[in-house]
Amino acid sequence: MGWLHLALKQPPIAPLEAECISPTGFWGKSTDEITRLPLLHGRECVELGEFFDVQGSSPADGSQAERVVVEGDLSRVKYLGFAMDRGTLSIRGSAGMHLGERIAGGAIEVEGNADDWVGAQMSGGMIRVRGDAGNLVGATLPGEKQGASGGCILIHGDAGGEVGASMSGGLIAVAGDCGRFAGVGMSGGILAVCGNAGRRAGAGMTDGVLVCAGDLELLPTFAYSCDYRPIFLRLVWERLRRIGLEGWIQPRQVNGLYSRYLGDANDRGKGEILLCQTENNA
Amino acid sequence: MQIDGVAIGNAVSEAYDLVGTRVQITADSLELACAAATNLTGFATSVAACGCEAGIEGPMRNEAGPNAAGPGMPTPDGRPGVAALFFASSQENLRAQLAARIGQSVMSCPTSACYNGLESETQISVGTDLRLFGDGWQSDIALEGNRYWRIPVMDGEFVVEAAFGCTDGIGGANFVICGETLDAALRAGCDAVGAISKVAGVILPYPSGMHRSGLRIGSRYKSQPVSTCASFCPALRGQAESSLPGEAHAAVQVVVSGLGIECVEDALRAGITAACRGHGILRITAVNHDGKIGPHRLELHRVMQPPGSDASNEEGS
Repeated sequence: MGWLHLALKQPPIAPLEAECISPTGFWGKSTDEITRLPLLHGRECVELGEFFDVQGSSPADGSQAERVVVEGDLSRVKYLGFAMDRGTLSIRGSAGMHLGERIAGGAIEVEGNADDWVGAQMSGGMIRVRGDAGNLVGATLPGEKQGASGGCILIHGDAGGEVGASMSGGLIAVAGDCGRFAGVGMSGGILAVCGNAGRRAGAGMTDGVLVCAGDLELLPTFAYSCDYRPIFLRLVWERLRRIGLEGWIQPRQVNGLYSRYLGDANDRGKGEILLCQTENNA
Repeated sequence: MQIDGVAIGNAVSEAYDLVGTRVQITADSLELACAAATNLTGFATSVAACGCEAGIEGPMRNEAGPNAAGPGMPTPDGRPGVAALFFASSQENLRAQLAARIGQSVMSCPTSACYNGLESETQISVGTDLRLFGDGWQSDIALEGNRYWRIPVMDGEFVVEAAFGCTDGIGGANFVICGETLDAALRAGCDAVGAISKVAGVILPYPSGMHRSGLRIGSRYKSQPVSTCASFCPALRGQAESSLPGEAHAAVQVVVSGLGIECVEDALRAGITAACRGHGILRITAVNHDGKIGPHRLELHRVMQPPGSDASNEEGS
Protein backbone atom coordinates (compact mmCIF):
# COMPACT_ATOMS: atom_id res chain seq x y z
CA MET A 1 0.00 0.00 0.00
CA GLY A 2 1.54 3.30 -1.08
CA TRP A 3 1.44 6.54 0.84
CA LEU A 4 1.94 10.20 0.12
CA HIS A 5 2.84 12.97 2.52
CA LEU A 6 1.97 16.58 1.74
CA ALA A 7 3.36 19.36 3.93
CA LEU A 8 1.97 22.86 3.59
CA LYS A 9 4.85 25.26 2.85
CA GLN A 10 3.02 28.39 4.00
CA PRO A 11 -0.63 29.16 4.80
CA PRO A 12 -2.40 30.59 1.76
CA ILE A 13 -3.34 34.28 1.87
CA ALA A 14 -6.62 33.64 0.05
CA PRO A 15 -8.78 30.50 0.23
CA LEU A 16 -7.13 27.61 -1.60
CA GLU A 17 -9.47 25.23 -3.39
CA ALA A 18 -7.84 21.80 -3.46
CA GLU A 19 -10.40 19.35 -4.84
CA CYS A 20 -7.66 17.04 -6.05
CA ILE A 21 -6.15 16.32 -2.62
CA SER A 22 -7.40 12.83 -1.84
CA PRO A 23 -6.39 9.23 -2.64
CA THR A 24 -8.92 9.35 -5.46
CA GLY A 25 -7.53 12.60 -6.88
CA PHE A 26 -3.98 11.23 -6.81
CA TRP A 27 -4.83 7.75 -8.07
CA GLY A 28 -2.78 6.72 -11.10
CA LYS A 29 -0.46 9.74 -10.96
CA SER A 30 3.25 9.94 -10.26
CA THR A 31 4.64 12.31 -7.64
CA ASP A 32 5.73 14.69 -10.41
CA GLU A 33 2.27 14.74 -11.91
CA ILE A 34 0.76 15.35 -8.48
CA THR A 35 2.94 18.41 -7.85
CA ARG A 36 1.64 19.87 -11.13
CA LEU A 37 -2.06 19.36 -10.33
CA PRO A 38 -4.02 22.62 -10.47
CA LEU A 39 -5.34 24.39 -7.39
CA LEU A 40 -7.31 27.62 -7.20
CA HIS A 41 -5.72 30.24 -4.95
CA GLY A 42 -8.21 33.06 -4.74
CA ARG A 43 -8.88 33.54 -8.42
CA GLU A 44 -5.46 32.37 -9.57
CA CYS A 45 -4.74 28.90 -10.85
CA VAL A 46 -1.58 27.54 -9.23
CA GLU A 47 0.22 24.22 -9.13
CA LEU A 48 -0.03 22.01 -6.06
CA GLY A 49 3.75 22.08 -5.72
CA GLU A 50 3.66 25.83 -5.01
CA PHE A 51 1.91 25.23 -1.69
CA PHE A 52 2.87 21.69 -0.76
CA ASP A 53 6.02 19.60 -0.46
CA VAL A 54 5.06 16.16 -1.75
CA GLN A 55 6.84 13.04 -0.58
CA GLY A 56 6.21 9.39 -1.24
CA SER A 57 8.19 6.20 -0.84
CA SER A 58 8.80 6.16 -4.61
CA PRO A 59 8.13 8.55 -7.51
CA ALA A 60 5.22 6.42 -8.66
CA ASP A 61 3.56 6.21 -5.27
CA GLY A 62 0.62 8.36 -6.21
CA SER A 63 -0.55 5.67 -8.57
CA GLN A 64 -1.27 3.34 -5.66
CA ALA A 65 -1.49 5.72 -2.71
CA GLU A 66 -4.15 4.34 -0.39
CA ARG A 67 -3.04 6.72 2.37
CA VAL A 68 -2.53 10.46 1.96
CA VAL A 69 -1.31 12.57 4.88
CA VAL A 70 -1.58 16.35 4.73
CA GLU A 71 0.15 18.44 7.37
CA GLY A 72 -0.09 22.09 8.32
CA ASP A 73 -2.69 24.75 9.08
CA LEU A 74 -5.18 23.89 6.38
CA SER A 75 -8.02 26.01 7.73
CA ARG A 76 -8.03 27.99 4.49
CA VAL A 77 -7.73 24.95 2.27
CA LYS A 78 -11.15 23.99 0.94
CA TYR A 79 -12.55 20.83 -0.63
CA LEU A 80 -10.00 18.43 0.87
CA GLY A 81 -11.13 14.90 0.08
CA PHE A 82 -13.70 16.10 -2.41
CA ALA A 83 -15.68 13.20 -3.92
CA MET A 84 -13.10 10.65 -2.79
CA ASP A 85 -14.13 7.03 -2.99
CA ARG A 86 -11.19 5.09 -1.60
CA GLY A 87 -8.25 5.12 0.78
CA THR A 88 -7.51 7.27 3.78
CA LEU A 89 -6.94 11.01 3.99
CA SER A 90 -5.35 12.17 7.26
CA ILE A 91 -5.31 15.87 8.05
CA ARG A 92 -2.71 16.75 10.70
CA GLY A 93 -4.13 20.12 11.58
CA SER A 94 -7.41 21.86 10.92
CA ALA A 95 -9.33 21.67 7.67
CA GLY A 96 -11.15 24.37 5.71
CA MET A 97 -14.67 24.43 4.33
CA HIS A 98 -16.24 21.63 2.29
CA LEU A 99 -14.08 18.87 3.76
CA GLY A 100 -15.14 15.56 2.25
CA GLU A 101 -17.91 17.09 0.18
CA ARG A 102 -19.65 14.41 -1.93
CA ILE A 103 -17.41 11.67 -0.50
CA ALA A 104 -18.57 8.21 -1.56
CA GLY A 105 -16.02 5.94 0.12
CA GLY A 106 -12.81 5.76 2.11
CA ALA A 107 -12.06 7.61 5.32
CA ILE A 108 -11.06 11.16 6.28
CA GLU A 109 -9.61 11.96 9.66
CA VAL A 110 -8.97 15.50 10.91
CA GLU A 111 -6.89 15.98 14.04
CA GLY A 112 -8.04 19.57 14.53
CA ASN A 113 -11.20 21.46 13.69
CA ALA A 114 -13.11 21.59 10.43
CA ASP A 115 -15.00 24.51 8.94
CA ASP A 116 -18.52 24.51 7.45
CA TRP A 117 -19.98 21.90 5.09
CA VAL A 118 -18.13 18.82 6.39
CA GLY A 119 -19.36 15.87 4.33
CA ALA A 120 -21.99 17.86 2.53
CA GLN A 121 -24.00 15.53 0.30
CA MET A 122 -21.84 12.56 1.14
CA SER A 123 -23.08 9.15 0.05
CA GLY A 124 -20.60 6.80 1.71
CA GLY A 125 -17.33 6.49 3.60
CA MET A 126 -16.43 7.98 6.94
CA ILE A 127 -15.32 11.40 8.18
CA ARG A 128 -13.94 11.91 11.66
CA VAL A 129 -13.22 15.37 13.07
CA ARG A 130 -11.42 15.18 16.42
CA GLY A 131 -12.06 18.84 17.16
CA ASP A 132 -15.09 21.02 16.47
CA ALA A 133 -16.97 21.34 13.20
CA GLY A 134 -18.67 24.35 11.66
CA ASN A 135 -22.17 24.68 10.32
CA LEU A 136 -24.01 22.40 7.90
CA VAL A 137 -22.27 19.09 8.67
CA GLY A 138 -23.62 16.47 6.24
CA ALA A 139 -26.03 19.00 4.86
CA THR A 140 -27.38 19.73 1.43
CA LEU A 141 -25.68 22.24 -0.82
CA PRO A 142 -27.50 25.35 -2.04
CA GLY A 143 -29.72 24.48 -4.98
CA GLU A 144 -29.76 20.79 -4.14
CA LYS A 145 -32.55 18.89 -2.41
CA GLN A 146 -30.80 16.19 -0.46
CA GLY A 147 -28.01 16.20 2.10
CA ALA A 148 -26.01 13.19 3.21
CA SER A 149 -27.49 9.96 1.91
CA GLY A 150 -25.05 7.44 3.40
CA GLY A 151 -21.79 6.99 5.25
CA CYS A 152 -20.85 8.20 8.69
CA ILE A 153 -19.62 11.50 10.18
CA LEU A 154 -18.18 11.67 13.68
CA ILE A 155 -17.59 15.00 15.36
CA HIS A 156 -15.68 14.53 18.61
CA GLY A 157 -16.25 18.13 19.67
CA ASP A 158 -19.13 20.55 19.08
CA ALA A 159 -20.82 21.29 15.78
CA GLY A 160 -22.43 24.45 14.45
CA GLY A 161 -25.92 25.00 13.15
CA GLU A 162 -27.98 22.99 10.68
CA VAL A 163 -26.16 19.72 11.23
CA GLY A 164 -27.67 17.08 8.96
CA ALA A 165 -29.83 19.56 7.08
CA SER A 166 -31.95 17.63 4.57
CA MET A 167 -30.00 14.43 5.14
CA SER A 168 -31.72 11.34 3.78
CA GLY A 169 -29.48 8.54 5.04
CA GLY A 170 -26.33 7.64 6.89
CA LEU A 171 -25.24 8.39 10.43
CA ILE A 172 -24.01 11.67 11.90
CA ALA A 173 -22.85 11.74 15.51
CA VAL A 174 -21.84 14.80 17.50
CA ALA A 175 -20.14 14.00 20.78
CA GLY A 176 -20.63 17.54 22.08
CA ASP A 177 -23.30 20.14 21.51
CA CYS A 178 -24.69 21.33 18.22
CA GLY A 179 -26.19 24.63 17.15
CA ARG A 180 -29.62 25.65 15.95
CA PHE A 181 -31.74 23.76 13.44
CA ALA A 182 -30.10 20.36 13.92
CA GLY A 183 -31.67 17.90 11.50
CA VAL A 184 -33.69 20.55 9.74
CA GLY A 185 -35.56 19.03 6.82
CA MET A 186 -34.29 15.51 7.49
CA SER A 187 -35.92 12.80 5.39
CA GLY A 188 -33.90 9.81 6.58
CA GLY A 189 -30.81 8.63 8.39
CA ILE A 190 -29.80 9.05 12.02
CA LEU A 191 -28.44 12.16 13.73
CA ALA A 192 -27.15 11.44 17.24
CA VAL A 193 -26.21 14.30 19.56
CA CYS A 194 -24.53 13.30 22.81
CA GLY A 195 -24.68 16.84 24.17
CA ASN A 196 -27.30 19.57 23.83
CA ALA A 197 -29.06 20.63 20.66
CA GLY A 198 -29.85 24.26 19.85
CA ARG A 199 -33.24 25.73 19.16
CA ARG A 200 -35.64 24.52 16.48
CA ALA A 201 -34.11 21.09 16.17
CA GLY A 202 -35.92 18.86 13.70
CA ALA A 203 -37.83 21.67 12.01
CA GLY A 204 -39.31 20.41 8.78
CA MET A 205 -38.40 16.76 9.42
CA THR A 206 -40.33 14.31 7.29
CA ASP A 207 -38.52 11.10 8.30
CA GLY A 208 -35.35 9.89 9.96
CA VAL A 209 -34.26 9.84 13.59
CA LEU A 210 -32.79 12.62 15.72
CA VAL A 211 -31.45 11.34 19.05
CA CYS A 212 -30.39 13.73 21.76
CA ALA A 213 -28.84 12.75 25.07
CA GLY A 214 -28.74 16.31 26.40
CA ASP A 215 -31.19 19.18 26.37
CA LEU A 216 -33.35 19.89 23.38
CA GLU A 217 -36.14 22.45 23.21
CA LEU A 218 -38.88 20.75 21.25
CA LEU A 219 -40.91 22.54 18.64
CA PRO A 220 -44.65 22.50 19.34
CA THR A 221 -45.16 20.68 16.05
CA PHE A 222 -43.73 17.44 17.49
CA ALA A 223 -46.24 15.14 19.19
CA TYR A 224 -45.38 12.94 22.14
CA SER A 225 -45.70 9.15 21.58
CA CYS A 226 -44.33 7.25 24.56
CA ASP A 227 -41.38 6.53 26.81
CA TYR A 228 -39.56 3.35 25.84
CA ARG A 229 -36.20 1.70 25.30
CA PRO A 230 -35.52 1.60 21.56
CA ILE A 231 -33.54 -1.54 20.78
CA PHE A 232 -32.23 -0.16 17.51
CA LEU A 233 -30.48 2.65 19.39
CA ARG A 234 -28.38 0.02 21.14
CA LEU A 235 -27.06 -0.90 17.70
CA VAL A 236 -26.32 2.74 16.96
CA TRP A 237 -24.48 3.34 20.24
CA GLU A 238 -22.56 0.10 19.83
CA ARG A 239 -21.51 1.16 16.34
CA LEU A 240 -20.39 4.56 17.66
CA ARG A 241 -18.59 2.98 20.59
CA ARG A 242 -16.61 0.74 18.29
CA ILE A 243 -15.56 3.56 16.00
CA GLY A 244 -14.25 5.79 18.72
CA LEU A 245 -16.96 7.61 20.67
CA GLU A 246 -16.84 5.24 23.64
CA GLY A 247 -15.93 7.95 26.13
CA TRP A 248 -18.97 10.03 25.20
CA ILE A 249 -21.60 7.32 25.49
CA GLN A 250 -23.10 7.06 28.95
CA PRO A 251 -24.81 3.91 30.29
CA ARG A 252 -28.14 5.76 30.40
CA GLN A 253 -27.89 6.39 26.65
CA VAL A 254 -27.65 2.64 26.06
CA ASN A 255 -29.94 1.28 28.76
CA GLY A 256 -32.16 4.21 29.61
CA LEU A 257 -35.61 5.35 28.65
CA TYR A 258 -36.25 7.66 25.74
CA SER A 259 -39.19 9.94 25.14
CA ARG A 260 -40.37 9.61 21.58
CA TYR A 261 -41.81 12.55 19.65
CA LEU A 262 -43.10 12.51 16.09
CA GLY A 263 -43.11 15.38 13.60
CA ASP A 264 -42.75 17.85 12.08
CA ALA A 265 -46.53 18.21 11.86
CA ASN A 266 -46.08 21.31 9.72
CA ASP A 267 -44.73 19.03 7.00
CA ARG A 268 -46.97 16.05 7.85
CA GLY A 269 -43.72 14.39 8.79
CA LYS A 270 -43.05 11.12 10.57
CA GLY A 271 -39.60 12.05 11.73
CA GLU A 272 -38.64 10.85 15.20
CA ILE A 273 -36.99 12.81 17.96
CA LEU A 274 -35.80 10.57 20.78
CA LEU A 275 -34.85 12.36 23.97
CA CYS A 276 -32.80 10.43 26.46
CA GLN A 277 -34.30 10.84 29.90
CA THR A 278 -32.07 12.04 32.68
CA GLU A 279 -30.94 9.53 35.28
CA ASN A 280 -33.51 10.92 37.71
CA ASN A 281 -36.33 10.30 35.27
CA ALA A 282 -35.16 7.03 33.76
CA MET B 1 -9.90 -49.70 15.43
CA GLN B 2 -10.44 -49.24 19.14
CA ILE B 3 -10.64 -46.14 21.30
CA ASP B 4 -10.38 -46.60 25.07
CA GLY B 5 -11.14 -50.27 24.50
CA VAL B 6 -14.32 -49.59 22.50
CA ALA B 7 -14.48 -50.99 18.99
CA ILE B 8 -15.10 -48.45 16.24
CA GLY B 9 -16.96 -50.13 13.41
CA ASN B 10 -15.66 -49.84 9.89
CA ALA B 11 -18.83 -47.97 9.03
CA VAL B 12 -19.73 -45.04 6.85
CA SER B 13 -21.97 -42.22 8.02
CA GLU B 14 -23.77 -40.71 5.07
CA ALA B 15 -24.57 -37.01 5.01
CA TYR B 16 -26.57 -34.80 2.68
CA ASP B 17 -26.22 -31.22 1.45
CA LEU B 18 -28.13 -28.44 3.15
CA VAL B 19 -28.19 -24.66 3.21
CA GLY B 20 -27.54 -23.19 6.65
CA THR B 21 -27.55 -19.92 8.54
CA ARG B 22 -27.01 -18.64 12.06
CA VAL B 23 -29.63 -16.60 13.88
CA GLN B 24 -28.93 -14.47 16.96
CA ILE B 25 -31.82 -13.88 19.33
CA THR B 26 -31.52 -11.29 22.09
CA ALA B 27 -33.89 -10.11 24.79
CA ASP B 28 -33.89 -8.21 28.07
CA SER B 29 -33.13 -11.45 29.93
CA LEU B 30 -31.48 -14.72 29.00
CA GLU B 31 -34.67 -16.51 30.03
CA LEU B 32 -36.70 -14.64 27.43
CA ALA B 33 -34.04 -15.11 24.76
CA CYS B 34 -33.90 -18.85 25.51
CA ALA B 35 -37.68 -19.10 25.46
CA ALA B 36 -37.80 -17.48 22.03
CA ALA B 37 -34.93 -19.60 20.74
CA THR B 38 -36.42 -22.84 22.08
CA ASN B 39 -39.70 -22.08 20.40
CA LEU B 40 -37.94 -20.99 17.23
CA THR B 41 -36.02 -24.24 16.91
CA GLY B 42 -38.88 -26.52 17.99
CA PHE B 43 -40.13 -29.31 15.74
CA ALA B 44 -37.15 -28.94 13.44
CA THR B 45 -35.51 -32.36 13.48
CA SER B 46 -35.42 -33.21 9.79
CA VAL B 47 -35.79 -31.31 6.55
CA ALA B 48 -38.00 -34.04 5.14
CA ALA B 49 -40.56 -34.08 7.94
CA CYS B 50 -40.28 -30.59 9.44
CA GLY B 51 -39.02 -28.42 6.60
CA CYS B 52 -35.80 -27.60 8.40
CA GLU B 53 -33.28 -28.78 10.94
CA ALA B 54 -32.54 -26.36 13.74
CA GLY B 55 -31.05 -26.20 17.16
CA ILE B 56 -29.64 -23.85 19.73
CA GLU B 57 -25.90 -23.52 19.23
CA GLY B 58 -25.25 -21.87 22.59
CA PRO B 59 -25.60 -18.75 24.72
CA MET B 60 -23.81 -15.59 23.73
CA ARG B 61 -21.87 -13.11 25.81
CA ASN B 62 -23.92 -10.45 27.53
CA GLU B 63 -22.14 -7.47 26.02
CA ALA B 64 -22.22 -5.59 22.78
CA GLY B 65 -19.98 -6.51 19.88
CA PRO B 66 -19.75 -6.81 16.12
CA ASN B 67 -22.37 -8.61 14.16
CA ALA B 68 -22.00 -12.09 12.69
CA ALA B 69 -20.99 -13.95 15.80
CA GLY B 70 -21.70 -17.25 17.50
CA PRO B 71 -21.86 -18.88 20.92
CA GLY B 72 -19.71 -17.14 23.50
CA MET B 73 -19.40 -14.05 21.35
CA PRO B 74 -20.89 -10.61 22.12
CA THR B 75 -24.42 -9.90 20.95
CA PRO B 76 -25.14 -7.10 18.46
CA ASP B 77 -27.20 -5.07 20.93
CA GLY B 78 -25.36 -5.94 24.14
CA ARG B 79 -28.25 -7.81 25.73
CA PRO B 80 -28.38 -11.48 26.71
CA GLY B 81 -28.66 -13.67 23.65
CA VAL B 82 -28.60 -17.10 22.10
CA ALA B 83 -27.21 -18.34 18.79
CA ALA B 84 -29.17 -20.90 16.80
CA LEU B 85 -28.43 -22.70 13.54
CA PHE B 86 -30.95 -23.41 10.82
CA PHE B 87 -30.66 -25.76 7.86
CA ALA B 88 -32.99 -26.40 4.95
CA SER B 89 -32.81 -28.08 1.58
CA SER B 90 -32.67 -24.83 -0.41
CA GLN B 91 -32.30 -21.09 0.07
CA GLU B 92 -35.97 -20.61 -0.69
CA ASN B 93 -37.04 -23.18 1.90
CA LEU B 94 -34.67 -21.68 4.44
CA ARG B 95 -36.09 -18.21 3.83
CA ALA B 96 -39.67 -19.45 4.18
CA GLN B 97 -38.92 -21.39 7.37
CA LEU B 98 -37.06 -18.49 8.97
CA ALA B 99 -39.72 -15.94 8.09
CA ALA B 100 -42.51 -18.12 9.49
CA ARG B 101 -40.66 -19.20 12.60
CA ILE B 102 -39.16 -15.80 13.49
CA GLY B 103 -42.57 -14.23 12.96
CA GLN B 104 -44.30 -16.66 15.28
CA SER B 105 -41.63 -17.46 17.84
CA VAL B 106 -39.33 -14.43 18.17
CA MET B 107 -41.43 -11.45 17.19
CA SER B 108 -44.09 -12.67 19.62
CA CYS B 109 -41.68 -12.91 22.56
CA PRO B 110 -41.51 -9.70 24.65
CA THR B 111 -38.35 -7.57 24.33
CA SER B 112 -36.78 -9.87 21.73
CA ALA B 113 -34.77 -8.93 18.66
CA CYS B 114 -33.34 -11.09 15.90
CA TYR B 115 -30.09 -10.63 13.99
CA ASN B 116 -28.10 -12.34 11.31
CA GLY B 117 -25.19 -14.32 12.72
CA LEU B 118 -23.37 -15.40 9.60
CA GLU B 119 -21.32 -13.18 7.32
CA SER B 120 -21.70 -14.38 3.78
CA GLU B 121 -21.99 -12.93 0.31
CA THR B 122 -25.01 -15.16 -0.24
CA GLN B 123 -27.93 -13.68 1.65
CA ILE B 124 -31.58 -14.49 2.05
CA SER B 125 -34.22 -11.90 2.74
CA VAL B 126 -35.97 -12.53 6.05
CA GLY B 127 -36.78 -9.25 7.78
CA THR B 128 -37.94 -7.82 4.49
CA ASP B 129 -40.79 -10.37 4.53
CA LEU B 130 -41.53 -9.89 8.21
CA ARG B 131 -41.74 -6.12 7.90
CA LEU B 132 -45.15 -6.35 6.27
CA PHE B 133 -46.55 -7.25 9.68
CA GLY B 134 -45.96 -3.59 10.46
CA ASP B 135 -48.81 -2.72 8.09
CA GLY B 136 -47.09 0.40 6.88
CA TRP B 137 -45.95 1.58 10.32
CA GLN B 138 -42.61 -0.19 10.00
CA SER B 139 -39.40 1.74 9.41
CA ASP B 140 -35.81 0.79 8.75
CA ILE B 141 -32.33 1.92 9.61
CA ALA B 142 -29.04 1.19 7.87
CA LEU B 143 -25.82 0.70 9.83
CA GLU B 144 -22.48 -0.50 8.47
CA GLY B 145 -24.15 -1.74 5.31
CA ASN B 146 -26.71 -3.78 7.24
CA ARG B 147 -30.39 -2.99 7.21
CA TYR B 148 -32.67 -3.47 10.18
CA TRP B 149 -36.45 -3.33 10.25
CA ARG B 150 -38.28 -1.79 13.18
CA ILE B 151 -41.78 -3.22 13.52
CA PRO B 152 -44.06 -1.56 16.10
CA VAL B 153 -45.37 -4.05 18.67
CA MET B 154 -47.07 -3.83 22.03
CA ASP B 155 -43.91 -3.50 24.13
CA GLY B 156 -42.21 -1.02 21.81
CA GLU B 157 -40.73 -2.37 18.62
CA PHE B 158 -39.37 -5.59 17.23
CA VAL B 159 -36.01 -5.22 15.50
CA VAL B 160 -35.09 -7.79 12.87
CA GLU B 161 -32.23 -7.74 10.42
CA ALA B 162 -33.36 -7.57 6.81
CA ALA B 163 -31.02 -10.19 5.36
CA PHE B 164 -29.35 -13.28 6.77
CA GLY B 165 -26.17 -14.81 5.38
CA CYS B 166 -26.32 -18.43 4.31
CA THR B 167 -23.77 -21.01 3.37
CA ASP B 168 -23.42 -24.66 2.43
CA GLY B 169 -24.06 -27.07 5.24
CA ILE B 170 -24.50 -30.77 5.67
CA GLY B 171 -26.87 -32.86 7.72
CA GLY B 172 -27.53 -36.45 8.67
CA ALA B 173 -24.01 -37.26 9.84
CA ASN B 174 -24.39 -39.79 12.63
CA PHE B 175 -22.91 -42.39 14.88
CA VAL B 176 -24.57 -45.10 16.94
CA ILE B 177 -23.54 -45.98 20.49
CA CYS B 178 -24.15 -49.65 21.28
CA GLY B 179 -24.32 -50.26 25.03
CA GLU B 180 -24.53 -53.26 27.28
CA THR B 181 -27.52 -51.59 28.91
CA LEU B 182 -29.81 -48.67 28.17
CA ASP B 183 -28.28 -46.76 31.08
CA ALA B 184 -24.79 -47.22 29.67
CA ALA B 185 -25.86 -46.10 26.20
CA LEU B 186 -27.67 -43.05 27.61
CA ARG B 187 -24.76 -42.01 29.78
CA ALA B 188 -22.36 -42.27 26.87
CA GLY B 189 -24.83 -40.43 24.65
CA CYS B 190 -25.06 -37.58 27.15
CA ASP B 191 -21.26 -37.41 27.31
CA ALA B 192 -21.11 -37.27 23.52
CA VAL B 193 -23.73 -34.53 23.38
CA GLY B 194 -21.81 -32.53 25.99
CA ALA B 195 -18.59 -32.81 24.02
CA ILE B 196 -20.26 -31.86 20.73
CA SER B 197 -21.88 -28.81 22.31
CA LYS B 198 -18.39 -27.29 22.57
CA VAL B 199 -17.87 -27.54 18.80
CA ALA B 200 -18.86 -24.34 16.96
CA GLY B 201 -20.98 -24.48 13.84
CA VAL B 202 -22.92 -27.67 14.59
CA ILE B 203 -26.23 -28.61 16.14
CA LEU B 204 -27.90 -31.82 17.23
CA PRO B 205 -31.44 -31.34 15.96
CA TYR B 206 -33.10 -34.17 17.88
CA PRO B 207 -34.46 -33.82 21.43
CA SER B 208 -31.68 -34.03 24.02
CA GLY B 209 -29.25 -34.42 21.12
CA MET B 210 -29.92 -38.14 20.90
CA HIS B 211 -32.08 -40.12 18.53
CA ARG B 212 -33.59 -43.52 19.21
CA SER B 213 -35.82 -43.91 16.16
CA GLY B 214 -33.02 -44.33 13.66
CA LEU B 215 -34.48 -45.02 10.26
CA ARG B 216 -33.90 -46.95 7.12
CA ILE B 217 -35.04 -45.85 3.67
CA GLY B 218 -38.13 -47.73 2.52
CA SER B 219 -40.86 -49.76 4.16
CA ARG B 220 -43.09 -52.72 3.50
CA TYR B 221 -45.96 -50.20 3.41
CA LYS B 222 -46.30 -48.16 0.23
CA SER B 223 -47.37 -45.01 2.05
CA GLN B 224 -44.32 -45.04 4.31
CA PRO B 225 -41.09 -43.72 2.76
CA VAL B 226 -38.97 -44.59 5.81
CA SER B 227 -39.25 -47.11 8.61
CA THR B 228 -37.54 -48.19 11.80
CA CYS B 229 -33.96 -49.32 11.54
CA ALA B 230 -34.65 -52.93 12.47
CA SER B 231 -31.01 -53.96 12.47
CA PHE B 232 -30.37 -51.69 15.49
CA CYS B 233 -33.52 -52.65 17.44
CA PRO B 234 -32.50 -55.07 20.19
CA ALA B 235 -36.05 -56.37 20.52
CA LEU B 236 -35.92 -57.64 16.93
CA ARG B 237 -32.77 -59.69 17.44
CA GLY B 238 -33.60 -63.12 16.13
CA GLN B 239 -36.38 -61.82 13.88
CA ALA B 240 -34.40 -59.42 11.72
CA GLU B 241 -30.75 -59.23 10.76
CA SER B 242 -28.99 -57.44 13.63
CA SER B 243 -26.09 -55.00 13.50
CA LEU B 244 -25.79 -54.94 17.28
CA PRO B 245 -23.00 -56.78 19.10
CA GLY B 246 -24.23 -59.90 20.86
CA GLU B 247 -24.12 -58.39 24.36
CA ALA B 248 -25.68 -55.06 23.37
CA HIS B 249 -29.16 -54.42 24.74
CA ALA B 250 -29.66 -50.78 23.69
CA ALA B 251 -28.35 -48.23 21.19
CA VAL B 252 -28.71 -44.49 20.74
CA GLN B 253 -27.84 -42.47 17.68
CA VAL B 254 -26.33 -39.01 17.64
CA VAL B 255 -27.16 -37.02 14.48
CA VAL B 256 -25.20 -33.90 13.57
CA SER B 257 -25.95 -31.01 11.20
CA GLY B 258 -23.34 -28.33 10.63
CA LEU B 259 -21.99 -25.42 8.66
CA GLY B 260 -19.54 -27.46 6.59
CA ILE B 261 -17.98 -30.88 6.61
CA GLU B 262 -14.99 -29.89 8.74
CA CYS B 263 -16.99 -28.87 11.79
CA VAL B 264 -19.27 -31.88 11.40
CA GLU B 265 -16.26 -34.21 11.39
CA ASP B 266 -14.90 -32.34 14.43
CA ALA B 267 -18.24 -32.96 16.14
CA LEU B 268 -18.23 -36.68 15.30
CA ARG B 269 -14.69 -36.99 16.57
CA ALA B 270 -15.47 -35.16 19.82
CA GLY B 271 -18.67 -37.10 20.37
CA ILE B 272 -17.24 -40.53 19.67
CA THR B 273 -14.17 -39.87 21.81
CA ALA B 274 -16.39 -38.83 24.73
CA ALA B 275 -18.75 -41.77 24.27
CA CYS B 276 -15.86 -44.24 24.30
CA ARG B 277 -14.86 -43.11 27.78
CA GLY B 278 -18.11 -44.46 29.21
CA HIS B 279 -18.54 -47.81 30.89
CA GLY B 280 -20.46 -50.61 29.21
CA ILE B 281 -20.03 -49.36 25.64
CA LEU B 282 -19.43 -52.21 23.24
CA ARG B 283 -19.18 -50.56 19.86
CA ILE B 284 -19.52 -47.27 18.01
CA THR B 285 -20.82 -47.56 14.49
CA ALA B 286 -23.03 -45.64 12.04
CA VAL B 287 -26.21 -46.16 10.08
CA ASN B 288 -25.52 -46.52 6.41
CA HIS B 289 -28.16 -46.06 3.73
CA ASP B 290 -26.18 -47.29 0.71
CA GLY B 291 -25.90 -43.81 -0.78
CA LYS B 292 -29.66 -43.11 -0.69
CA ILE B 293 -29.40 -40.27 1.84
CA GLY B 294 -26.67 -38.07 0.42
CA PRO B 295 -23.35 -37.84 -1.37
CA HIS B 296 -21.05 -37.31 1.61
CA ARG B 297 -19.40 -40.39 3.06
CA LEU B 298 -17.85 -39.94 6.49
CA GLU B 299 -15.91 -43.12 7.22
CA LEU B 300 -15.64 -43.41 10.97
CA HIS B 301 -12.11 -44.82 10.83
CA ARG B 302 -10.91 -41.88 8.76
CA VAL B 303 -12.79 -39.33 10.86
CA MET B 304 -11.28 -40.72 14.05
CA GLN B 305 -7.78 -40.63 12.62
CA PRO B 306 -7.13 -37.11 11.37
CA PRO B 307 -3.73 -36.65 9.70
CA GLY B 308 -0.97 -36.39 12.30
CA SER B 309 -3.17 -37.60 15.12
CA ASP B 310 -2.09 -40.42 17.37
CA ALA B 311 -5.19 -40.39 19.50
CA SER B 312 -6.31 -43.82 18.38
CA ASN B 313 -4.70 -47.18 17.74
CA GLU B 314 -5.30 -49.60 14.92
CA GLU B 315 -6.54 -52.92 16.20
CA GLY B 316 -9.29 -53.68 13.75
CA SER B 317 -12.97 -53.18 14.32
